[in-house]
Amino acid sequence: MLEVRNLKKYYQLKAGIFKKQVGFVHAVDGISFNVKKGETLGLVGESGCGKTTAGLTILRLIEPTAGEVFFEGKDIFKATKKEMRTFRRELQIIFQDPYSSLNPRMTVYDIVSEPLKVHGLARKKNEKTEKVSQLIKKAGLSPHEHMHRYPHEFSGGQRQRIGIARALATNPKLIIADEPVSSIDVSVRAQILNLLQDLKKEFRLTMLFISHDLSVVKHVCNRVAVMYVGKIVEIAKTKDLYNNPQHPYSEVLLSAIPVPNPKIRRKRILLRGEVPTPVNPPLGCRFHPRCSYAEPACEKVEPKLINIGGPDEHLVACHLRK
Amino acid sequence: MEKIRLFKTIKQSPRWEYAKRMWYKFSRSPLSIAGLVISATCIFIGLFAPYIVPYPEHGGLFHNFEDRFIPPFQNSNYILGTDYYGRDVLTRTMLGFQYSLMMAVTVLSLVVAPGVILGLIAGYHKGTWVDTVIMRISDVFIAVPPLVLALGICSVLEPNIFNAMMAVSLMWWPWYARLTYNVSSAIRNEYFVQAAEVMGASTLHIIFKEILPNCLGPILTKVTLDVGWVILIGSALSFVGLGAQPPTPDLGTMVATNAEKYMPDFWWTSIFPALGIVIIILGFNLLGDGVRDMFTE
Repeated sequence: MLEVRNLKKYYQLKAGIFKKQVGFVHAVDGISFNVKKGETLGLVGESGCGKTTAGLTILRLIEPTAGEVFFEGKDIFKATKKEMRTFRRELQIIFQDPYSSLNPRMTVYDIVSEPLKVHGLARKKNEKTEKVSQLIKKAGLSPHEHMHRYPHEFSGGQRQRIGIARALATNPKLIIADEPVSSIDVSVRAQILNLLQDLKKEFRLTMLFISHDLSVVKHVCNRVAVMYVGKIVEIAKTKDLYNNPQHPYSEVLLSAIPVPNPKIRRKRILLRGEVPTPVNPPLGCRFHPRCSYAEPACEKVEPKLINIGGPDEHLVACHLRK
Repeated sequence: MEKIRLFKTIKQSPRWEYAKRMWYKFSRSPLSIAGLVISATCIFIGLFAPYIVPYPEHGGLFHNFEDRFIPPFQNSNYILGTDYYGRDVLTRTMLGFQYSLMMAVTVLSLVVAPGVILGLIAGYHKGTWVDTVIMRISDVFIAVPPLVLALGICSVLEPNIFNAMMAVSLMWWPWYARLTYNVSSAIRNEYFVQAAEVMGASTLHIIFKEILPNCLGPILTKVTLDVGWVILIGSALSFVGLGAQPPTPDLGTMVATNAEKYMPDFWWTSIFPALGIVIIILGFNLLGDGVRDMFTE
C-alpha cells in the first residue's frame, strides 16, 4: 500500500557570514520499506535517528532530497496539485505533541470539522454537526459536553483524542502516528493505544507507527523496522524481531526494555561510546564503532538490507548474517 | 431532547465564554479600566466635538477682541480661558481631539492591513526569497526615522494634514510587517499548521484561518499603543509647522503658535492643548497595556 524507496533527506549545514555550506546532516539516508494494507508497521530507533523526519517527508511536509514514495502505486513526490489533494484525504498524521497540534483559537468543533470543510465533504450545517459529533464520540469524548470548548480546557490525553478525531475526519486509508503517546501521561497511554487499535479495526486503517518505546511497539505493531542514524538496520515481524533479533543494534535495543518482574535476571548489553553524528556518519556499517562483533569488513563496506527469513521476510543489514 | 441541546449550546456559547474570560483578564488591572474610560471619552469628544462644544464657531476664523486672553477658571463662560483672538481654549482643544483622532484612524487604517498581510506572507514563506524580499524592503523603510521622512515629504510637498498623514503612513507599515512576521513565522512551525497542510488546506486558508487568529493579540496591542504614537508624531509635525495650518484647531499647531508668541504670560493658550495630547496618549497607552494583558495567558 505504501512503498518507500531509497528515501533521503539531507539538511544543509551553513556557517559563517556568507552562509557557506559546510556539510550535510544526513537525517534520513536512503531508507526503503513498505507498509502492507491493514497492517501496522512500527518505526523505532533512538532520538535523532530520523524517524520523525522520515514520517514528515512521506507526507511531503518536508521536501525530500531524493527517493520515491508510492501510495497505492502512485508516486507522491511526482503528484500534481490535484492528485495531491486526493493524497491529502487518504494520508493523515497524528502528532506527537497534543499541545501544539490543536489551534488554540478554534473550538473542538472547528478543529474536527476543518478537514471536512477543506475537502467539501459535508456541505450542510447539520450534516457537518452530525459527522463531527460522530467522530468525537468515536474518539471517546462526549459531543454534547466537549464539542464547543477550546483546546486549553482539555488534558493531554483528551487533546490527543481530538487530534485523532481530526485525523479520521476524511476517512483516510493510512495514518502516520508520530509518537502518539510519548508525551502523554503513562496512566492514559494504554487508553489511547487501545483507542487507536479499535479505530484501526473499525476504519480499516493502515498505520505507520513511529515510536521509541519498544514495549508500546510490541503491543501495537505487526512488523517493526529498526532505524539507526538515518538507516534501517532491520525489518521483521514483531514476534521474530523481539524473540530473535538479528542485527547487533536491535539486540542491544531490545535488551534495554525494562522487565516488570524485578526477580528476573536478564542480560543487559551496555554500549560503548556515543551515537555518531548524522553530519559525519561512520563509513561502512554505521554501527561498527560500537558493535562488539565488528569485523574489518564492517569498517569499509556498507551492508545491504537482505532477507534471511525466507517467506516471512526478515530483512537485516549486517555483514555477519548471510 | 433536541430543544434542550439547542438551549444549552446557546447558553454556553464558546465565543461568549471567551469574551468573558478576556474581559476578566482586562478588568483585573484598574489602570486598564482607567485607560478604557479615558480613551472612550477621547473618542466620544472626537466624534461629537462640533455638537457639544460651547462655541462651535471658535474653531475657525473667529475673533472677539473684547474677550481676549481671559485667564482660566475666572470667567464661567470660558472655563479654560481664551486666546489672542478671544476664542475659547476649551472649545478649540476639544475640536483638536477630532483632528488628532482622525489622523490616527486614517494612518492606522492605511497601515495595518498591508503591513499585517505582508508580514503574514513573509512569515509563512520564512527562509525563502519571498521572505527576504519583503523583509529587506521593510528594513529600508525602518532605517529612516518616521519623523525625519515625514519632515522631508511635508517640506518638499505642500505642508498640510493630508501630506503629513501620507508621510507617516509610508513609514509606519514596516513595523506591522515586522511584528506580524515575528509572530507568524513562529506559529508557522506549530504542529497545527502542519496538520492543516496535511489536510490539504490552501495557503490562503492556512494564513488567514490558522495563523492570523493567533497573531491578533500582539497586533491589536500595537494598534492601541500606536494611536498615541501617531497622534504624537502628527502633533510634532504640526508643531514645526508642517502639519495642519492655522486656524485649524489642531492640538500641535495650537501648542506651537501660542507657545511661540504668548508664553509664559498667557500660558493657558498652549498648556491646555498640550494637556489634551497628554491625555489622549496616556489613555491609549493604558488601554494598550490592558489589551496586552488580555492576550497573555
